[in-house]
Amino acid sequence: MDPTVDDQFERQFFSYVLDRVVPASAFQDPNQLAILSDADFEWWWILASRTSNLLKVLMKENATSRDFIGSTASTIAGTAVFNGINIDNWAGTAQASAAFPLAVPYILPATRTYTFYFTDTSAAPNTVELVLSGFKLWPRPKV
Amino acid sequence: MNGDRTTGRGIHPYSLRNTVTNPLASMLPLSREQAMVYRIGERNPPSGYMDGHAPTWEAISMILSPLGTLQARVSLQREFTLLAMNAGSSSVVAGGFRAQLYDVKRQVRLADRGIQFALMGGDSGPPPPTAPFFLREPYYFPDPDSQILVVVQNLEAVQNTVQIALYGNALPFNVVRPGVREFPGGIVSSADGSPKKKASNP
Repeated sequence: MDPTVDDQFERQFFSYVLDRVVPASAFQDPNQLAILSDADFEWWWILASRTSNLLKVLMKENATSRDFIGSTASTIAGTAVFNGINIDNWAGTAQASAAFPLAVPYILPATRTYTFYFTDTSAAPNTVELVLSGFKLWPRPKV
Repeated sequence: MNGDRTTGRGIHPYSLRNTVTNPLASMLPLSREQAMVYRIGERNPPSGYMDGHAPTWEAISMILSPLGTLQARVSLQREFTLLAMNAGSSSVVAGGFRAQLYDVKRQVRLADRGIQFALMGGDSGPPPPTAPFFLREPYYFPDPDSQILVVVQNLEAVQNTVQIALYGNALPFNVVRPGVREFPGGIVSSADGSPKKKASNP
């Protein structure tokens, strides 16, 4: 088998779901999402629904402390603290044909945990469902 | 490498990575060509996890005064490849805002003049459905310590809260790239590790 065209994995469509009612005016409200231990997850799409779009998101990989969403902009007028990306700039709903496709997939290793920090500026409870959609990677048995 | 994945020897139909065709090409509607993903097997964008690269969003938030202009300078992580842009504006009565992006290292502007945010990239939230703007050809920032200068002009006669999100793929500062020599004392973004350079600077 040509290793340059086959990575020896079967892919099973799968979605990790995070549901949270973000308290009104919450500041970097932390929420954990754990990847199941059975398989690595190849992340392809981001989907999200929310009550209000006045919501910002930060995402951190706990094992590596990697921040996926950041800002190094030297002038952030009027925003002293960086609270993340507007949720609508990060993800949409499938119905609105705006699920965000990661152009290059990223592998979330099995058992690794991720923290999503929500900051609400709507001053009302914000019901959020966040979906990371992609494929479980199952190693294919050698024939 | 065989160019036809349907007949190639040993090519499994369910294997998506490292195949020579775009794995999502037949899954995306033709009406949204801008959101299609990229060709696989090319150097850029890097292939993600296997190369130590990770998805990265650079979010530039601003509160613009009425008809005001602001600049922001974004220091990019190593080997940043710009893939898509999203933008949002709290007021859109007169078009929201204009923005111009400028590659500081290469002294290249990414548009003839500042373009309206609605033509630059929408958000993904309903309603109405808009979409991120995907660059059909990724824009790669190969130089160490690359920066993007963002110049934003408010088109509204009221205060405007805006955000431009630059989605890309980057090698984070805290990740050592295999095979790349880093300077003693820690990782620096200008470490290049090319053998030719080392030979010329013993």
